Amino acid sequence: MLLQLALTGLQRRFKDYLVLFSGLIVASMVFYMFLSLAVNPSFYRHNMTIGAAFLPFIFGFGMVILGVITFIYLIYANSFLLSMRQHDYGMFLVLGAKRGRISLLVILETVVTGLLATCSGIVLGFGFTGLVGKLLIGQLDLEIHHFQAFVPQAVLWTFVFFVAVFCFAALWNVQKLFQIRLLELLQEKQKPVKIDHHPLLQALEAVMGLVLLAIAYVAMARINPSMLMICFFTGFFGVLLGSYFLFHSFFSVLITALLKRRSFTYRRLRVFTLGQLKFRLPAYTQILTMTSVLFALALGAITVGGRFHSMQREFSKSSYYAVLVTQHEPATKRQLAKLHDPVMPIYHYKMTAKGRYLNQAEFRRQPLRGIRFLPKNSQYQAYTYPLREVTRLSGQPGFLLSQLVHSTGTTKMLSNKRYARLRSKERWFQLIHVPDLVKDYQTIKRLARLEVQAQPASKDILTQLGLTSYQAGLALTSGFQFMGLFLGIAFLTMLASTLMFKVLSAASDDRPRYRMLIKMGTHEQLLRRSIHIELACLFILPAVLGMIDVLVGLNMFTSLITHPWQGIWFPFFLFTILYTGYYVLTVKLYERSVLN
Amino acid sequence: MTNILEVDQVTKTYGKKHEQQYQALKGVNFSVAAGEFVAIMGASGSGKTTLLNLLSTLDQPTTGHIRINGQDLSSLRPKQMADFRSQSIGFIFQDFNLLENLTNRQNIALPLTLRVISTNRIDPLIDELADKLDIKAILDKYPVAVSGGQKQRVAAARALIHRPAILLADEPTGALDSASAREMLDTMSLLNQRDHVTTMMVTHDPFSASFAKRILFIKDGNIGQEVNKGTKSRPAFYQELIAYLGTGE
Repeated sequence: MLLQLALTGLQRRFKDYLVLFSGLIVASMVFYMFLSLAVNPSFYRHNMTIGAAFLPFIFGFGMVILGVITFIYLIYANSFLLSMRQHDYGMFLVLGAKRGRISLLVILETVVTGLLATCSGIVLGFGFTGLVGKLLIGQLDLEIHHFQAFVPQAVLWTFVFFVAVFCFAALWNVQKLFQIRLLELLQEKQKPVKIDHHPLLQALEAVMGLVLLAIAYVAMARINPSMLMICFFTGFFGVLLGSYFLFHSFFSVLITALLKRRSFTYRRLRVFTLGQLKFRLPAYTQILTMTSVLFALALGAITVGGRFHSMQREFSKSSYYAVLVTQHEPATKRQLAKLHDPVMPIYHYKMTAKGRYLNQAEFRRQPLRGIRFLPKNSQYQAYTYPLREVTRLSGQPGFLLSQLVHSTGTTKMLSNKRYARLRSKERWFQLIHVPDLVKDYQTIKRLARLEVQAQPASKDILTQLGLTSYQAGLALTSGFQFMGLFLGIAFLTMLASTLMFKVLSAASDDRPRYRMLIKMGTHEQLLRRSIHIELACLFILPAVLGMIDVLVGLNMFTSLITHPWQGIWFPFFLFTILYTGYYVLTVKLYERSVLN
Repeated sequence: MTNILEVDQVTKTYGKKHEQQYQALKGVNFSVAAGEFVAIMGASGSGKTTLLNLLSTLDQPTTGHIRINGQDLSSLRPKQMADFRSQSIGFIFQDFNLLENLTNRQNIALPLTLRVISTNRIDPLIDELADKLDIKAILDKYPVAVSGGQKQRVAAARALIHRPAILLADEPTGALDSASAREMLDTMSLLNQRDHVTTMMVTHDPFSASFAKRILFIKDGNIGQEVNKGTKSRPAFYQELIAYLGTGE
């Protein structure tokens, strides 16, 4: 009988359960996605050669954050589950059910909901991990090895973590349920708004929020290797606590001040919207703090990932010549024809038992070019090597030429006449420069392969050219780029789900307010506008704070990447579009819930 | 005296054609004159709530017409209906329906903020009405911090602040203790007598109904008997009601 009643309860609140269930699924899915990288050491050992020493720390720290966030999220979701069911539990007690039976029912419901959500989340996690991984590797041409969607250890740990939290939550629910009196259980809807803000305390909290954020930002901006850990933790906890106080008090203080300006508030529904926000912001403190921190982490991860991507372009510019060929077999010719605006000078040389000889006149006719790095603006610049250095075979061009003309003995530069007199078989090599190596990467790669097949000795020479530098750059940065983007997307999914879930779960409590306003003759258009503004504030405030956190927090990456802020508009833009999408979806679902 | 409310052959049927239908109102006729205090009494399921929803423009009659202040409600579009509600009708509900995230002052101000009115005029109007209803001291408190009786008086102030043509009260004392209920009914009676606020109250409680000047009994979707207070005292009218209800089977 109880089971039947429980099922009826589930059916009745199917929509609410759907919101809860999808939230839990997303939580376990994101947790799995993170673990699929974190507990797969061969992935980062093979893909992240720079900063590898930091990785266990980065993953460990990430895991703690995600663990704490997921824990809070699950406890919150469970209290929502209890609030949905407490009226039914009250009814069961009235019907004569024993508390022991009800406890069993609560535990069963909580754990079964948790298990179903966790298993679905893990299965979706495989799919999503595989999909995001494939997309990133394919679209960005990343050199990623040992990446796999199914990581047994990640499955195990996700399962263990979630089951443990759900068991804890179930016991917590039972304990909480029996603290509530039967009458209160039956009157679950009558929840008055809590007014426990002491103005002085609130003002103090508001100031403390600003001070803590300022301290955190200074710590992050002035981070240095000798105080890395102190700066990092001061930054992180300063941002966390500062954001908490800001949401708990600062904005309420601002709204209270605004509400006192009657000429502003006594227009249309402003007084209602501000009233909603004044209570909503402190009530949403934990969720908004979490959102802002997640937002910063996701945006930070995507920004850093994106910077690694643009660093790859820089690697492509670090050498002038991308590749060399010493044969013109048909396959090589076909590939050469595919290149976009190439520069392909051919140089000849002769070899004797004493050494190798180059023709000066050829280098006069076709000057040899190189790349130099301008530290002032961190740019690579192409320039023509001074002829004197080329002909004397000194400096960089001398080194390059002696490497290119692969043989033992010395290299000499001869005048046109002396070169012509030399009785030896003439050979040649062709250097290939393309304006955009990234664009011609696949063709250049094929050319290099064909060259090594035809002339195995060229393998060593190729290491001196642009293709190899670019590939080294790819190998260096792909891991970080992949991790940044992968985790960014994972965090973003979690973030959207958290905020959307919180807003939608409050919709049933908000419904009577909107009904009341409709009865009073408020136009639907005004109500919609009020909802848009209110939810926009809930979305924008943590987003703006998160963006500031990222802008300051990027200081911590200056030792890993040059100019981390360069091109930052792109991830910000991308993020804003995605975030706006979540906002619109939340608004639509919320409107449907409170206005229909 | 002009009629503020006219209900003419109103029916309300729930359920679609070709399905099982239920007729909640079966041709209701009555009118309320300006300055009257009318109570509608009936048991659960008699059609009270349906009638109130129609009068408050939240629902449409299946047939018939309702006119408030000369305006035929059936000719109004949804947007005009909302405007009409915000200008011509004041509501008091059983469970107050105050917005708990606004102070009492802000709650009372809401109907005025929805209209184009100078913001400087709003506070003086609230203060004036709060004086009459004896709630001035609690204006800047939140609803959760005041008693049930005070909440209902705040709700009354919110219903009257924009000077509506008619005040509709739905079981206004249903959630109050007897002392607060008495205070509330005295206040409504005073507002009716002194300020000529046209009031229509829906209730199933004879004590509350005895504060009205006229009582309409609704049963099975029809208005049946009508009882007038006339020159009788309120306690005498109450006794008459009790006697009537005792034999009203």
